Amino acid sequence: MPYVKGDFYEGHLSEASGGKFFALEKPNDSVRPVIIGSTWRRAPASLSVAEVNSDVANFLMSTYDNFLQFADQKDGATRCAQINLLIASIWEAHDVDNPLVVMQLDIINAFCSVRRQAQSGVLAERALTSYDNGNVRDGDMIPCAPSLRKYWGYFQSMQGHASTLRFTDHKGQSHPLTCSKGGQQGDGFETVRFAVTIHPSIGRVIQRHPDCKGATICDDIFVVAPLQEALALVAELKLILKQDFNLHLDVPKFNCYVPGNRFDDYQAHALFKDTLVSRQSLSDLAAMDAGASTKGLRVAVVPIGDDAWVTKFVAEKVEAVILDVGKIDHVHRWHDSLSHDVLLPEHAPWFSCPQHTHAPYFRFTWQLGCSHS
Amino acid sequence: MQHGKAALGAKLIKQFDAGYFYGVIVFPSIFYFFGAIWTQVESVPMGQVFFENEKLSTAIRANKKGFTLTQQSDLNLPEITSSSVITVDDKFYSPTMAKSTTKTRPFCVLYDDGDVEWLKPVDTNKAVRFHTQTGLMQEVNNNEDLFDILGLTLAADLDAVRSVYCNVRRDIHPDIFWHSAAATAFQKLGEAWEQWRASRNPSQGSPAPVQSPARSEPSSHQQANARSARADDRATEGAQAQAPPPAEDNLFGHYIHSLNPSDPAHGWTHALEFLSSKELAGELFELRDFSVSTLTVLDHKLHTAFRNCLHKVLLLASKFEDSIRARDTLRHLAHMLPTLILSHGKKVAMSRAKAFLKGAWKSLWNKCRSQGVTRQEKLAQAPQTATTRSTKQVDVLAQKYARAGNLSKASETICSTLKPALKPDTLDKLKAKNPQDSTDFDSRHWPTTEEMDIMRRDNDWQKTEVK
Repeated sequence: MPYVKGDFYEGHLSEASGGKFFALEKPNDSVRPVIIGSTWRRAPASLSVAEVNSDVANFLMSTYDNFLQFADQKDGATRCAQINLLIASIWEAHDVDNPLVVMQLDIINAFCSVRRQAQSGVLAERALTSYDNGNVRDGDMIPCAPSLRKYWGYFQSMQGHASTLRFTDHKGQSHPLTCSKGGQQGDGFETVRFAVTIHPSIGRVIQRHPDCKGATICDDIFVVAPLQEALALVAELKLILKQDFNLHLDVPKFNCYVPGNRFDDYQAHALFKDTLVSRQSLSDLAAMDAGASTKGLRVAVVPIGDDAWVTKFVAEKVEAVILDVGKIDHVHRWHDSLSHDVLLPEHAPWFSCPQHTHAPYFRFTWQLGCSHS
Repeated sequence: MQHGKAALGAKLIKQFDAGYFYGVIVFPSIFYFFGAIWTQVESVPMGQVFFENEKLSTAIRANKKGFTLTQQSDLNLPEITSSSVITVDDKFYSPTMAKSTTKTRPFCVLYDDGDVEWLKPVDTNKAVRFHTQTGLMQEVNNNEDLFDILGLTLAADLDAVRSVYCNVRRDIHPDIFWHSAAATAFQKLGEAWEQWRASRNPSQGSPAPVQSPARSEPSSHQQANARSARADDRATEGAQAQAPPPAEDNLFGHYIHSLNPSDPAHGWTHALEFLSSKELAGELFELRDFSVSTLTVLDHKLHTAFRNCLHKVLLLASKFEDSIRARDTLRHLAHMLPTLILSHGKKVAMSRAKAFLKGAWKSLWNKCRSQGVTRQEKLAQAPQTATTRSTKQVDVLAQKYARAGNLSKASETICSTLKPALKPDTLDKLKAKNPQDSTDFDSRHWPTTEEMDIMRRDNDWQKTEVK
């Protein structure tokens, strides 16, 4: 229970909340930072998350009428994709000059960049400064999942001060790095903490745009709205996220999916650019060069779009999986019961279930764990 | 050169009958064949140069290891080379080569007066440490201000000062530094520390963790004689119930003093003292600087032994209800157990587990540390590069994970094409991805300890604890 209660000696806190730091190479010569917290920390955190899960899900799904957050929910990515697809299916009801779009927003280095003061304010359910461009004032109540209050000790001990991360370089030398911003993705609570932190700010903004609907999974924000309204919302959201949490939207990396068959990719992109330059209020998004597509979009890892695009996407994924299964297959010579029969369901859970192997199911069961076996 | 360790170039002091002599560890080849250790050899290869010398033969018979320059000239030896062989009582002896095992090789010491001596590693370490301790004692005697004594700048924070102070205090403690002036210097250092602490925060009491009245921390004036009191206690263990309060420099002092000699935990007294010294010196987390791989699959016997160690440490931690610092230190020890016990092969792990239960924590700790340092040195000479694992390596690793029940990781090992970033600029890239912010939080609206306590008494929390 020491982690759950935050029962630590203050002098040890920076180490207790720290971890092993290493990096993986990314194709673009960048690095993907990975933090491995202690098992002693991760185990109680995972249990605690399991305990608060339903309450947090209830909070994230019911606080705002037009904004849902699917973080840390079972099949969250699939459900998020389904909701986006469902809302986008009424594209015909919208004007050609202002078509319905699904916009995908990207936050730069999201988990590592959230301002901890704001995070603690949300978890304490009280604003510690002015938020939402002055709409929320110091001392105002901020909505949060009530069950998280029980774990205040955990949040305070893990994030109430700078923690020490240890990186061992290629020469075996250890470098202690200080971590005083954001959280650690290896922490069981991190997804929940991040989601509930940004939820009120995003929710308030989307609430002010009743024509827009938001469905989000962790830091992947999806907005379904007519193009002009969607861009207006994104411009405001960019400002608020920066002010409230010091989070920066990666404008050039936004994606835009225009459902329906009224445009080709070129026309959709042109319409998108025209709308962007036509309004002074959208100047903040000038760098936006969204990959406008009329074929489809990837929601987390789940494809939504027309049948041809989804089928192609799934086919590529299946090929990759077959390749991996081949790799697993070569370990059949292991002389005990450990065989690819054991590892295969681990790698692709739906492979062992005949009901999930036909095409129509692929669209929404990409991440679905098999429940038929 | 590592401070305070026997190494080439390290200075030392050794006490001879005539008094203290300063020396330096020199490269042995200069004196090797003259002051050599002569080792018996079974057979003599071709090309060896035989010689006879009655005085040297006598010295070898007497198992004499080193010769002073004067003695060497008395020996009147011929020119000795590595091929030289002397016959003593029909046995052949040749000079030991410098590449003999480092664990047994003596250090060659050149003293100020020109004498040369071969010292065993353990004696050399003692002499080098004595030199360091003497230097520290002089610093204490020559200065008045704590920062001057410790060689710190005014920018040093409390933790840094405390850490250096604890190290110096430990090094010059009269119990381990047998010098006539050690007691005076030790007392002076303690006074300087108290003075500085009082000037830093006059209203602040003892920095020790909060204790219940029954086990209150000793007041500052009690600490001065605590060490000697504890030494007396060791001599009269039977009267421990009336023992004076322990020193502030041992987190587990109260517990140790309350132990009966018949208590099973009594065997851990020195181990706890060691752990306490590490914590107070700010070195409790030093083993985290070394990345070591640990056994993941344990057979039943080893599993039981490891569980015993873990169980006992956590049980002991639970006894320190009134001292969060002591409790947390022991919990950290529990976290470190895989490193201390399982960072080698199965057989070694078993013997390490037994050693741990016997209280040989210091030895285990130092072994892990030296293991880590050795690995660091190897990597410094041959830096790691990000290479894709060979098929065989993948097989071995995946099997290891799978047998430990981690199927997800086993699958990932087989299928993943990601490589670790091990380039010179990786550190800078990581720093760029790790932005910093102030941790000076506004906590006006944060739940108070009382509020949290009330919350934990309600049914909801009780149910959570039961789960």
